[in-house]
Amino acid sequence: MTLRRPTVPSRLEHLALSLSFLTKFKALASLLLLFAIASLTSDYFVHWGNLMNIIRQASTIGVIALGVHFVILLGMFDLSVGSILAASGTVIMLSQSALGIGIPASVTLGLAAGCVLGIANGMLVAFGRVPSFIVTLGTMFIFRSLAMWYGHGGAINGNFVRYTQLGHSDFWGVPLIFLPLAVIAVMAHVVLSRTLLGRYIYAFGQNPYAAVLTGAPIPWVIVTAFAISGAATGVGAVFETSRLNSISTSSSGLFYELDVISAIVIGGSNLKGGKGTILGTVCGVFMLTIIGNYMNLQNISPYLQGIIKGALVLLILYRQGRKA
Amino acid sequence: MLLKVTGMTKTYFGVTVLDHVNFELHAGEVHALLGQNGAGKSTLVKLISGVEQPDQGEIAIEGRHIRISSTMEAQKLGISTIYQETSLVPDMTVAENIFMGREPRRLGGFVHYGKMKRETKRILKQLGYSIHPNSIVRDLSHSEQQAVSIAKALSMKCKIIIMDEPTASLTEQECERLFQIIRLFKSEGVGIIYITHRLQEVRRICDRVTILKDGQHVMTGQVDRYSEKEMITYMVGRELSQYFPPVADEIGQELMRVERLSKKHNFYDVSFTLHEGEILGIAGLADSGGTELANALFGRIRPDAGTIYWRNERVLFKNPREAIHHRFGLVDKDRLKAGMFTDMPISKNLTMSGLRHLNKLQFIDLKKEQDKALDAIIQLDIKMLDPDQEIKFLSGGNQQKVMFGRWLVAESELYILNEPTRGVDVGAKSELYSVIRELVLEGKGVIIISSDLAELIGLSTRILVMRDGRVVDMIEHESATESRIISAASGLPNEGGKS
Repeated sequence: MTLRRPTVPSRLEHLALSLSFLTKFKALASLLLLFAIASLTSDYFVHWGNLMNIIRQASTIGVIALGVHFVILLGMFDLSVGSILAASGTVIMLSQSALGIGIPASVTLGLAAGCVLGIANGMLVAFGRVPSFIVTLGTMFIFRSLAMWYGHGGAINGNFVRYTQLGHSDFWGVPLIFLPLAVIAVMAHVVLSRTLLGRYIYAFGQNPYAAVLTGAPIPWVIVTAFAISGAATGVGAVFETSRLNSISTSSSGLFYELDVISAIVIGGSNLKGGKGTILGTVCGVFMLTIIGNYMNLQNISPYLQGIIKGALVLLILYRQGRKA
Repeated sequence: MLLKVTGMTKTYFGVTVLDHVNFELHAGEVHALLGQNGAGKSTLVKLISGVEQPDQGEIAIEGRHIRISSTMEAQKLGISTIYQETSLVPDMTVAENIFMGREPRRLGGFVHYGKMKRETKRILKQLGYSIHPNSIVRDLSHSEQQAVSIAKALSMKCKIIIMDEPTASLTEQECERLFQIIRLFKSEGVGIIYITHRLQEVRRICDRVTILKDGQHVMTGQVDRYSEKEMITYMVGRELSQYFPPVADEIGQELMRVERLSKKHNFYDVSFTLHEGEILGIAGLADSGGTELANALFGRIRPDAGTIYWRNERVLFKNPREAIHHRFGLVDKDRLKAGMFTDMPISKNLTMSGLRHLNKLQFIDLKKEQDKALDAIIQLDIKMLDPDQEIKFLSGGNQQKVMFGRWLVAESELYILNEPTRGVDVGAKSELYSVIRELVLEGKGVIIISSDLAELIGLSTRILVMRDGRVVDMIEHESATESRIISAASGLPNEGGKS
């Protein structure tokens, strides 16, 4: 038997192919367009200092979004990340001030805490057969409440001035925290596109039923995705605490889950699962941040930002809905 | 002339799926529309029912040229389509579904429920069904839901009814009933376009037949002038010298032994053995337990009692993953729901079950993956543009080949095939049969559950007939006949005399 090769693609097919190339990088194209508009209409936007500011502002939401991206690809939600950030930040600050252990050890504990809370979410979803939306709505309250109980609802401060250098120092003129953010983004991309785990995640998101029938180790895949989401949020807690050398148990990370999900949606991921790239999510995060930054520069009331974000999310979901 | 379609042309992404097709339908005629998957039948139907617009061509109803810009418009013109998957609202009542958007009114706008129910009852009775107008559609059986769709068409006083594989999931009896309804329509002067893959049905109820191939019109003629074989030849464009490959005579070692396997409400005391190189057929009317048995063998449901031996080793699978590790493979009867990852490329769909053979420290060996996928594509002769093309763009037959190929890549040794050729055209069917034959020659074991008796008889070394979850007959290939299977499966005496 021979492999039947197709005839030469027609001009129309070529056109369709090049169009599909464009749609593949829709998020990147939109980000560049937004960047161009902002630089042309604002005198201050393209200043190095401002751009670095944007990176700094985007980093916490960005790293959390990279983790939550895995959960969204499964067609699930993680609403508890804001609370995990508070809990994980509490662990870092407490272990520095109360236990008096060093920076590397406290950071490790913070990441571990995020990971454990994520695993708890994943186990409840995978084995409890409760929708992730409900599970993480519940754990959102529980995790936040745990943190507030330890901190009596107030702020907990760190112990080392050196720790704050992490959040404030630059490396060749670029904020230091950009480095872990970039590394984690590349890692996330590699895991999703090259590993068995990544393939199983996309498969489950597209057709959970068929994923089980083709032998994907489903409970394990779900738990891992939530663990990744929790661990990434732990990194977010490190970013946040190292900037302020403090965590507010009642307000740190509040509503972050919504910003994260908005960024992922704007980045082109489908909330039904199975579709979406890391590049898209990164672009989504920066688009949200740039919109906020630009409005500040233009002296537009910060209270209007919600309208722009909300309209953007609605517009994209509306288009997804029409395509489906 | 009730309907006259001339020069219909439709192109998607540079691929012409319908090329200047002509079609005619008389009043009171049942006109079969045949062709392989991808021949253009569904596209033609979509154009006539207003779902899509033609690039070129004209439609005339009773001599009047018209443009059908939407399905609503088509309904107004008296064209109704009954799809395989019914387009009813599952959570509304039968009466509400039938009169949706056309509810009888009284007193300035209030729905006249009494009248609606009376009408519903009358129409359903005319069709020979006694379904209560207040029943929720979700609770009805498939054939009853279809009856409701037909009742809807009837109540709209349609002139043209398009039926897309109406008998695909009906039992023999239900088909009989449907044919009576079709005769009723005929006598009232309604024209029916009848799409099917079952040629016996064409001979039984259709007057004329039109065959499409690769988007082009091949022939139109009186059904009684053509034999089934001639029709197949028109559809595939070649003589099918060997519809079924010969049954293997070399039988190897025992692969699988099942002893008194039971699952409450599904199947009871099922025992059989399967050797290398054997094809075991499982026959039975709808809901006789074959599907559940297949699922139990594959670890999808846990049996209550009984044992499964695989190569003389007792096995009990907790999930399909364990079954796959023991080199089992299952092709589900519902490709869309339980098989395909529609937005994934063909290659990734093929390798999904075989990822553990491509595992390099949890990374996928992408080069090896491409090789494996291409091997399967070549072995199965899957017709496609590019392995990275999404599977949803393939025709049904080729999609089904991918479902098979998945287990080739996984290097399976037992193939459990549940309705492997449902909704697949004749050409792809015979290709799938040769693939099954090749598997058996390599010493693999195959279990086929099918409602197509000709297929079972043609392929199987042995046929297990089930009725209400129990094995009622075990027939060797040499003595297998349709009448023996039917009498065993239905529990009715065989006029031919069953031993």
